[in-house]
Amino acid sequence: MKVLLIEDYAPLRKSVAKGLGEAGFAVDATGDGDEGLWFARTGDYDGIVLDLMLPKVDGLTILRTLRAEGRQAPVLILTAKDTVPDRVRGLDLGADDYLVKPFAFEELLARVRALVRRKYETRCPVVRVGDLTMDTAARTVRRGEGPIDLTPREYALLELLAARAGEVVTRTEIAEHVYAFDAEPDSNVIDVYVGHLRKRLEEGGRPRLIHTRRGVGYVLRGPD
Amino acid sequence: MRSLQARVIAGTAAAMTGVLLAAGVLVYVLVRAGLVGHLDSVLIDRARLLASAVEQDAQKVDLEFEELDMRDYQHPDGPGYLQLWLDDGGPLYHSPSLGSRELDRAGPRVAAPACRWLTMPGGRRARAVEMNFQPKPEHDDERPAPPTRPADRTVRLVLAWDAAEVESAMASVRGVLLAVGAAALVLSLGALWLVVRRGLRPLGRVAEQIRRLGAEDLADRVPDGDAPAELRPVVRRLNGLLKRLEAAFRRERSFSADVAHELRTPLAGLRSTLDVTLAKARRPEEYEEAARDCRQIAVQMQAMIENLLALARLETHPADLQPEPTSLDAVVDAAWAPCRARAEARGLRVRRDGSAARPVTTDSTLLGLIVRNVLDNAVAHADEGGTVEIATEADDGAVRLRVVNSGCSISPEQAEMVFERFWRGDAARADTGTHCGLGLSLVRRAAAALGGEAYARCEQGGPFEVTVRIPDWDG
Repeated sequence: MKVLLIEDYAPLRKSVAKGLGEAGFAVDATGDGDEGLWFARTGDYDGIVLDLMLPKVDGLTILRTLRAEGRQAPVLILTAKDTVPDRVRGLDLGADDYLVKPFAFEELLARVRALVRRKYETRCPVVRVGDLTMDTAARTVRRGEGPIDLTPREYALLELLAARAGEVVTRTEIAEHVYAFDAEPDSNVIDVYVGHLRKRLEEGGRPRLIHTRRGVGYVLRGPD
Repeated sequence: MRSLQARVIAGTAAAMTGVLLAAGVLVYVLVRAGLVGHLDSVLIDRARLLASAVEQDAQKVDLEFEELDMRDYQHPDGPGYLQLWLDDGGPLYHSPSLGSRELDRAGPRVAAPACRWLTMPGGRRARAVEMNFQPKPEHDDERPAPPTRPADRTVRLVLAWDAAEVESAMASVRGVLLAVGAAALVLSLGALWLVVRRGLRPLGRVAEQIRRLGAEDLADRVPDGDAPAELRPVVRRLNGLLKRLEAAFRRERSFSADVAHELRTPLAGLRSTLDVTLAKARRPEEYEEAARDCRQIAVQMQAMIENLLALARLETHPADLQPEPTSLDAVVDAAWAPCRARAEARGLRVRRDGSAARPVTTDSTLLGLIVRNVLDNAVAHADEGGTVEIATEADDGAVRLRVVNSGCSISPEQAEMVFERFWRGDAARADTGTHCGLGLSLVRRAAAALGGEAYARCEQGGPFEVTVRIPDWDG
């Protein structure tokens, strides 16, 4: 899942980007409103974490512009402005959530996860496909009773496929949602990662869940 | 007495009672004087009539009272009492009404008829007239008067007349005056109460409006249109006071909101850095990096809090200064040292032009604060690779610091606003956490505390110039 972080205070940007990255998100981070707007317009983000006071273009303008252009990426406003009118204005302009600084990183993470679920219209943090159980809150994956250890990137890949279980996810979409802007790989790398993930999921001769649609992409589907 | 209404009523009532009393007394005295005067003139006429009935010849004095109506002098209850004496003191006439009583005579002979009060038996008051006269010579119509020696005896006459009529008339005048006066007093007090109450009603209205002013909301005003003319200046002053209070409160509120905001952002950075770092076990280099990041945030927060405290101190204890000989050039050199690295990192070309080495007397700590913040601001806001010019000069009795940086991002109209707390050129702002918009407001306040001034001038996209002038304390 890919998240855009627009925050102008460098130490905060650095730590939040790091924390989100370690939690399995692909993060694009910028401290500049202008650049942030450009990112939000060009990338298909699963969530945007937006500061309000930004150089060049402020956060509310970015939000207003995105919504006016019909972009649906869920937005979490992260700001030091804590008055009720500030919150109301942010939410009324189309933000999905509002978090006041300073905050516990755990809470930000939980809210970003909820934000991403909202994008895929799933309310439940636990996804089940066949005998695969994926708990996106606890970040655990199991097949039957056996837990499966995944690397953050494998996890991110599975999370995307699980969020759209039953649908074909293209290689381009995988590249966009699993990798940060400056790290988007070519489709061979994606195939390699999908291969790794398959191997982990099929350990012990369990049936295949990730199916290849040749020339299109992959689909996560349980045995019929 | 606290109530204005009670004071007005009591004061007016006292004055009115006094006036009514005085008027009543005056009327009473005048009426009484008129009545007594009338009685006196009647008595004098009567005395003269009686005197005309007294005749004398060479041998004796004759009383011809039988021609007069003497019924008034018969009864002990009066009303008339009459007594006549010869000038040698011999009794001449004693009216039956007197009984055994004698009327008093005044000592010496009286020339003109004189009137006085007497007290008759039974305590009744009587008015008396006393006169001396020479009885006219007796003449008989039938025989001519014989040539006699001129009759030169004089007679003293005292005529007293019961004054009960005057007394009762005066008693009824007194009664009428008292009744009229009391009625007038009661009626006018009632009217006064009504008028005062009506008259003071606008005062009550204004008081009520003031009472209803919200304790929470300072935006309320007392409408001065319907206040009486006497109260309008008071209402206007009150409204002016409310307006100033409201502005001060709003300023304070926005100041504390700004402070909270400015502290929240670095605090969020600190907390988030620590949260993320502690989320899992890490390599020592990662801990070291996190610690360095936290230290940098702490340093920024410290600088900001120190600026805030300096600002608060300048506002609450503006005069806590220690003037000493200080060279502006030396202060600039000292303040520039920590800025140099940042200026180099941003590729700034710096031109230094100093001619204020001669010391002036001023507070060196505040001057250092001023210079540091002006230089900081220039280095932070010059465009990347731009220029910073620092010029100092001394003229008679003052030193001047002029710092110009290139790449101004605000319009000339906004130049003055850089001195406001937390104001930043971009509504969407830059440098959160590092430069919170306190520096130049601190500069202006500190300069004012030193008796000097600070002002800014700029061209959008061109140079931004801050000038600070500090007078010599001894100059």
